[in-house]
Amino acid sequence: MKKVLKVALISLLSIIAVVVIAVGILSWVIFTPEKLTPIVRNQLDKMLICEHQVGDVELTFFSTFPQFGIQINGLLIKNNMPDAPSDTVVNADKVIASLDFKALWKKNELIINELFIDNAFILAYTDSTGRSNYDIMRPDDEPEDTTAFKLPFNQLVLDKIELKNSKIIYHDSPMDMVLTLTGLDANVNMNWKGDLINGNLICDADAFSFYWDETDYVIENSLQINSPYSFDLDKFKLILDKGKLCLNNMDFDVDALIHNRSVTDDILLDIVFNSVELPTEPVINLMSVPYGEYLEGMQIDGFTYVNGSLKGIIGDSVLPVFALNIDFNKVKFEYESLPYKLFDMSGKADVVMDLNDGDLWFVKVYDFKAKTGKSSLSGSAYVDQLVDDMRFDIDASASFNLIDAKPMLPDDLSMDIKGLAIGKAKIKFLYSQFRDDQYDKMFISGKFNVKDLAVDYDTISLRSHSADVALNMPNIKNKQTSFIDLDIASKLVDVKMGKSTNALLKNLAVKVATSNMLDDSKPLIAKGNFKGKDVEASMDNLTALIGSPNGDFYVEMDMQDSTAIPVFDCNFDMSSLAASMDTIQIKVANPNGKFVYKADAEDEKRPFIQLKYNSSELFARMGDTQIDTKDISVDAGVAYDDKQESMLLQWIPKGFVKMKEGTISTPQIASTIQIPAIDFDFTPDEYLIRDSRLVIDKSDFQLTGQLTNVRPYLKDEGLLKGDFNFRSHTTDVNHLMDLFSGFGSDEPQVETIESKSEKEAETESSGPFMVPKGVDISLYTSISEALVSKDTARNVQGTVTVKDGVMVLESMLFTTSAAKMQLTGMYKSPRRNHLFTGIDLHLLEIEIPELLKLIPDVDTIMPMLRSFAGTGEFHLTMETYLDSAYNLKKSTLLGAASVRGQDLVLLDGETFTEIAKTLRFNKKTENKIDSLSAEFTVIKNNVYVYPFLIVMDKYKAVVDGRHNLDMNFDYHISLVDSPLPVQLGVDVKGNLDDMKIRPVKCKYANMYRPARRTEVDTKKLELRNMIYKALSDNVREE
Amino acid sequence: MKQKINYLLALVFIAIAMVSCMPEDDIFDETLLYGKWKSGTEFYRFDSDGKGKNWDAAETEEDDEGGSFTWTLVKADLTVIRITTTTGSGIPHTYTVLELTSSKLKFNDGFEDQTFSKVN
Repeated sequence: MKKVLKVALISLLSIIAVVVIAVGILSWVIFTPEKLTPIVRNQLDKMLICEHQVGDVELTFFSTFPQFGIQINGLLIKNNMPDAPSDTVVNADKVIASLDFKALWKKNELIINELFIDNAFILAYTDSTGRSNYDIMRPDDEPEDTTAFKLPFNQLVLDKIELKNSKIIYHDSPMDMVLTLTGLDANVNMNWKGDLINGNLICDADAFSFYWDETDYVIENSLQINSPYSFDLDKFKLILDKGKLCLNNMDFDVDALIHNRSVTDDILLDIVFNSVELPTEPVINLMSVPYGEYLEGMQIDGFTYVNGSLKGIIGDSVLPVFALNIDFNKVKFEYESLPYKLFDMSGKADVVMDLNDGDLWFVKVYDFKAKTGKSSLSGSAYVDQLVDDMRFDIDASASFNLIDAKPMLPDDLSMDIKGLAIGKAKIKFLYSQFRDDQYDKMFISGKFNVKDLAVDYDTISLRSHSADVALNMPNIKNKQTSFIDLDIASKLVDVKMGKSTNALLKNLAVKVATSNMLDDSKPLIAKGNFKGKDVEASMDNLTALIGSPNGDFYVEMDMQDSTAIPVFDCNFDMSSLAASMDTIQIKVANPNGKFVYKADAEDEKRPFIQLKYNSSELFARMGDTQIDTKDISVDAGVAYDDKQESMLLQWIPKGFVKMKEGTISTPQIASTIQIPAIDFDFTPDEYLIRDSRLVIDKSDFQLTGQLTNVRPYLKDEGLLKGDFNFRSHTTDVNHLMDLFSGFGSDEPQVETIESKSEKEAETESSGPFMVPKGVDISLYTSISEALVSKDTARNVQGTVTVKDGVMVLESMLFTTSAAKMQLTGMYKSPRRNHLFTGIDLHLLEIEIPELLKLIPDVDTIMPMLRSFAGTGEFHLTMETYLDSAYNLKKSTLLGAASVRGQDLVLLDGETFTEIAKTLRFNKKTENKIDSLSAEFTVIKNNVYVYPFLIVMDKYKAVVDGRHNLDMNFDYHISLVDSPLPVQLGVDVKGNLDDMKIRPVKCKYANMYRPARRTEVDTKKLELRNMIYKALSDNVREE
Repeated sequence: MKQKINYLLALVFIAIAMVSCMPEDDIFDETLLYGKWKSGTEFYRFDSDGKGKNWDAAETEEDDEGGSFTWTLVKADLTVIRITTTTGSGIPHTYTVLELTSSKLKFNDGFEDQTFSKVN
């Protein structure tokens, strides 16, 4: 056996040696480079029309074993074309082709077993006119040869092509496409069966770049391909079947059909690729090349499948459709503008790009799910207009924990929000709108239910177990507030402020629509309405219950001009309002109205406030005091002028107040006060009281009139003018005094020294009443009957005027059972310590005792009146200045009085008895006085009694004299007629405690005897008449 | 009868005697009255147009602040008619001038004398 093996081995080695020797002879002796190189060059000259250079050509055997091969050391083919990146078509350091020389020699078949190209640069360039740099084959001589391409060999077979460390550039200018492979090692096996080539393609490029249509899609990513393929030479159809592709370390399964159809002169593509599960990072890196601007600021970390296809025809006017399906999961997502991290993000996305029309490109995202810290989000989205301004259509469902909203709030806003918002939202917008914050152009709608809402801000807290929130952007219902329409509803909202303020809102529904609050160039407008079932509110010990509140509001703010006055307009209506605090309670039925705050129409820099208020019933209680009214209407407009210094001038009011059927009852007043009506209008210049009435038991009062010239008065430019009418059918003074007696004090107070001094201090501080200056006000008073004491004053009429520091009660007329009265009064206050007061009083048919009762001070002036009884007439004018404590300034006292009566009775008394005794009156003399006519003057401290005659029975006496306010008397009585034969007189001097009555000469014996009257008597009588006339002239004729 | 005639003659005699013995009426020059007069704190001012003022400096703060009046001086009768502010009524009083010089005024209000000195 060994011998057999030994012989066989020796034989084999001998054969090898012979072959080696034969190959050596062929290579180095017969087919030397010097012989082969010219042959190859000549052949290339015949085949190519472009410049080419060929280095040494040598025959190889061992490197191409077991076939012979030709090795070209240095091959350069140039075809210079304008705009081409290079004039080189092919430049290779080494090209080795192993040939089947036997087939070539015997059958003219070019069978290349293996083509190896080393360190090559290959450029395939097509210019904009469609000319290619690789169109370098010499054309046939027959110019119009339309026959199909025919190889110069009976058969061309290439079994394997291998590239090493090469660079291939495909540059197609008409398609604006550049494809570059650098550092390429490739190995292509080919198995020929007629026109069909089957084989396997393996390539590995260090850097793969792809540029198309002004966009870089891949830049220098590694690329590996390993795929079986078939290529039909006749149909020019390439098929990759179950190939493997690895781009930037991302593996894909690839199936491809590329069919260059000569009949239709187009290329049919059907390329499908599917990835394995890929980390998102390289995918995002890959996508960031063409779509980097959209991905800026994003961090995406997770896994995804990327499947796709390129299907369709490439022709003169058609292009295929590129479709991509991305299936991602376990993705973490961060975006610099988004204050959250999304995790567990999963979903699918279809990207479809019809290369014929970029407008048809779209991305569809579905089965999307994501989570934030405590929130989750799901939904779908549709994005189109990918090559223009991407249009998003998002349909989302969210379970949003409001804690996640805190990062969206300003850092300096110390607000805590809790709650879970569950709902759906639809969002439609363009990318440019999102980029430019054009939220007003987006379409957003959604409905959310917020559970366990808790908002805390400073000392304010808000709680709601459940609230429904719906929003629509834009609001198509109103152009003014087209930005957003917000609808909030909750069955119960609890609001607290501090520890003592609380509000409970039941069945609350609020609708708000606003203009674009992000657009500072236009005013911010908000409109809405609110509705609720009940509102319970409390603050400290104040509680309020509002029944069925509803209303609407309008707010407008100029966002550019911070000084512009905003508009706030609110209409409100409620079925009831009840409030209580301590012993105070208030209930209002159906309060409704309007509150407006806006710029004044006459001066837009001035704010204007308007309040309209109506209620059908109002009940208020403060302790045991109750106020009850029916209808109340208030329409008040107030403008504010901050240029005015006076606070009263700053507010410019206009409007009216009306009230009907009011009653007031208080334990301090036994009777109920009824207010049948209050109706007054007011303007900046005028207050018009149309009606104001008050009824207290039998008493009724009505005040009407107007106050005018208000603003000129406030500006010190004119008098404040008023003209009022005070009317009363019945004024029960007695009852009123009983009612108001002790009003304001709970119990009688014992005046201690301290309280007295306090009272004095208070009096001093409060000072005397000063009549206002700059006013001209008249009050006409008319009282049909005034019940005073047991008497009734009828037809009480008069006018009170206050004009520029002077207050006058002018000719007040009234009638009582005691007298007809006329009173004129005057009060001036030129200085606080110099006050003037004066009266002019006329009592006709008055009972003298009633007179003294009515005006006790008359006793000081005419103390002798105490001794008379009966009816007379009384006239008095008196005036004086007072100090600030209302003490008389006696030096200024001036007055006069007149008493005239018939059938009077001289009351018996100690003084009369003594005088009668001195004058020798008959003891039987009756005290009846037939007539009395006396005039008095008061000058300073003195009261002068002008001589008057008393006729009593058979006696006539004349009395005159003087006394002062200290009641020191100096009187004289002349008995001018008596049964006695002599005329007697007495002087009465002294004071009430020490009165001296002495008989003296009769002073006025002839005063009442005109023929014998002296000049002095005449003079005194003239003065009396003058005094009487001066007094009686003031009596107003009825 | 004779006795009655004697009585009558006696009365006639007495009457004639009394008339013959009555002093002549004093006549004062009213121009001497013009101007301001002072008695204690009380002031009168008599104007040449028959008007005047009366005030007490103890109770008024301003000069000439007081009641207005009109006045006439007939022989020795100085009639002062004070005008009320309230109604404008005149309240008269007649004083008997007892002495009137360029520096002294003395009158009686019917009950007591009052003396004034001229104030420049």
